[in-house]
Amino acid sequence: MKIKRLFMISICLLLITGCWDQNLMKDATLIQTITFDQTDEGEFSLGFAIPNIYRNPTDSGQETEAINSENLSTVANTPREGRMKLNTEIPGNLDSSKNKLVLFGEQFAKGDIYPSLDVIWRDPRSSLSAKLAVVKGKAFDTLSIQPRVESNISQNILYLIRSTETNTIIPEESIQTVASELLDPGEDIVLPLLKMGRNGTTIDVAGVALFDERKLSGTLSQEESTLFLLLNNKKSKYARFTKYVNGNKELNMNNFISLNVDHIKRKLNVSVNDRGEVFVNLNLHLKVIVEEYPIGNVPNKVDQLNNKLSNTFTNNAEEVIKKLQEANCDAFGIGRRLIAFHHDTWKEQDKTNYFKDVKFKSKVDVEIIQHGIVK
Amino acid sequence: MITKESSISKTQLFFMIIQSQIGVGILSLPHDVSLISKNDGWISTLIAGLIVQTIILVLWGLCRRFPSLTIYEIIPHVLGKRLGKAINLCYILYFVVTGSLVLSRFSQIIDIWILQRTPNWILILLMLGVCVYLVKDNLRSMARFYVLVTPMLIILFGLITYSLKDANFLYLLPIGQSGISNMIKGSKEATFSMLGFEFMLFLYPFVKASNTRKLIAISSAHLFVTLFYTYLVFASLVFFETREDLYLTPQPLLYMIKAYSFQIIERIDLFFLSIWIISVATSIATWLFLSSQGLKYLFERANHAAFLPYTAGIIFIIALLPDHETDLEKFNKLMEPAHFSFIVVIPLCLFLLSFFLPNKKHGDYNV
Repeated sequence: MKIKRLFMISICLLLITGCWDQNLMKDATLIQTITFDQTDEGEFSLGFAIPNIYRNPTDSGQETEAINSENLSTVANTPREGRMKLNTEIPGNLDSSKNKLVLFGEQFAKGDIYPSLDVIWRDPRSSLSAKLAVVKGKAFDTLSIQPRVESNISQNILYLIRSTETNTIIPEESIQTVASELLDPGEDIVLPLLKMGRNGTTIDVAGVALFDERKLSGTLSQEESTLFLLLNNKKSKYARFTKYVNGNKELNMNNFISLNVDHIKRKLNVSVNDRGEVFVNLNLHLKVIVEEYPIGNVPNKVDQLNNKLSNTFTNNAEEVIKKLQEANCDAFGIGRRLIAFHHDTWKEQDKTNYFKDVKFKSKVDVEIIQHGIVK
Repeated sequence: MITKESSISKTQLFFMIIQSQIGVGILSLPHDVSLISKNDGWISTLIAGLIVQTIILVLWGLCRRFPSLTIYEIIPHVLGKRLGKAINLCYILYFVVTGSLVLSRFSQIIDIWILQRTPNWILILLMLGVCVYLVKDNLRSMARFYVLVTPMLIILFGLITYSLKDANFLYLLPIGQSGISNMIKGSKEATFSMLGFEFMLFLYPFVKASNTRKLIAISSAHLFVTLFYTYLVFASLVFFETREDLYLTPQPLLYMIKAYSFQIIERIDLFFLSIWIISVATSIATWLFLSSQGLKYLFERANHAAFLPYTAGIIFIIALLPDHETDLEKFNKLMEPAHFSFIVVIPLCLFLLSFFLPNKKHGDYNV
């Protein structure tokens, strides 16, 4: 009896393993990065980076394994067609379920980025946590960089994006989180902007790329993007600035102060007047820690520094907002607030260009709360 | 008639109603509701809860008049033997078809989300196997299983709550934009995903408790389900931009947790689905149980287990019939009047008719 039952159980176990849907790692070639570009002829070009494991003989005769990457690209009508074309060029099946990065070329992003992402949203096996970024120039070209540290280019860029995210230089976004923002008429997205540095030997975060609905329409530099993220209440672990505060000290280094923002308080107020004009009051209060002040004695000049810094930051914030408005990139989600709180005004607004006409009044207050372990 | 093995406590009743109600509809509920009532979908869900509560009161009124009889005994008692048997047969068919529809929807979701290459009949067969095993013994063993698996819902709740960290609560505003009529229309969809409470029509005499306590148990189970559903709808409304993104996403709850990966687990949507499968199994088991019990009363046998192979076989075949999404939708639409007549109209008529019967208590079941 017991043996019979055991026999039945083992048969059941064999039957329910789901043999049809197995995806064996040995047959798969994992895609680590996907790039979307527009060629000079205006055609769509798709690129993949796949890991390439090779053996590295060392001096002592032992072999170590290292990973760099193999890059492929093709011209196609759609991403899926491109993948089918590339699949015939490599052994094994291309598998994008572990994809970590999607890079858009600058020229491509100036068109519409939404259709290219459709295949990723539609396929249940695709990875929605992949990071998105825009690259100055051609995205595929960045894959051929051979970095000295972390030789696998996809890992390299991924680590770069993660570390700059913690430093509040670029926003934390993934394919999933941009979906709603792309489709929302009252909000626009910003994505990390990468560029090749040092004559094409390294990759560098240049700042953020601003989007108008689904099209790339402007950029912010690294320092501007940090301030922008603070204005948008998206502080990550660190947010550092170095600002010019003292006039004309003999030694240039003495003219500057470096700060880390400890915490922020942001107030965003949207109001409307009778004529349907939209006003935004944007107040940002920064509590900062002085990390570097070569000339010394912070407590002595704390009021003076607070004033000076508040002025500088307010001016910078105005510039950032001006750039956003020029790009028509409503990253603050002013439109969403109009939909939510001033629905009638929203109905009368020009749904595509409303953001350019919003009147901003912004103010940044800086307060030094710590100065490290020396004065 | 009611043996010790088949009676259940009122707590078990509470859990059985919850597990029968929560089923296959839960995944697509936010999408279906928000198609009509947009960002006021959560209000629609609450309205649906109210509607169902009223129906529960009617059903309770009927059961209270015949506290020791199941629905299959009430019908012949009120309508006479011939007509009663005919209606009973209709009920059995209705339960069989509802079970098949749920099974079909289940296999379709598994097919598009996880097991794309596995043939559907395998999924359906495995599921039915589990359900047959679950209902073949007495009511009490079934109740114990339902109680045992209910805490799994906490995991669903936790996963959904985790994904709220990327939510934008402004999507919910302005409240009431879609208008009252749309909110009520939207609540129709939510009502269908709350089906399963009709199990009370059968369970009622088996519960060892007073009438009021039974009502309290059923209503609180329903309250739990309503609040749980409202929370899920609310979560997907604030996660997705309602008018376009949620419109494009038929199973929003799965989608919103698909993007996250933890240290060890990636693709937590698969994790979510595995827990969801249990809730589906309990719903299908309920309908399987109801239909085979019906046959037991129809043929006046002692045990329902003998009919299980037949009901399961019919459910299996019907579940295989719709082979793509539009078929399922038609099937679903076709069932709407059936739900309405078997759960609202017929019990209501019985309830009204029962007042014309000589008012004698039928073996009041005392604890």
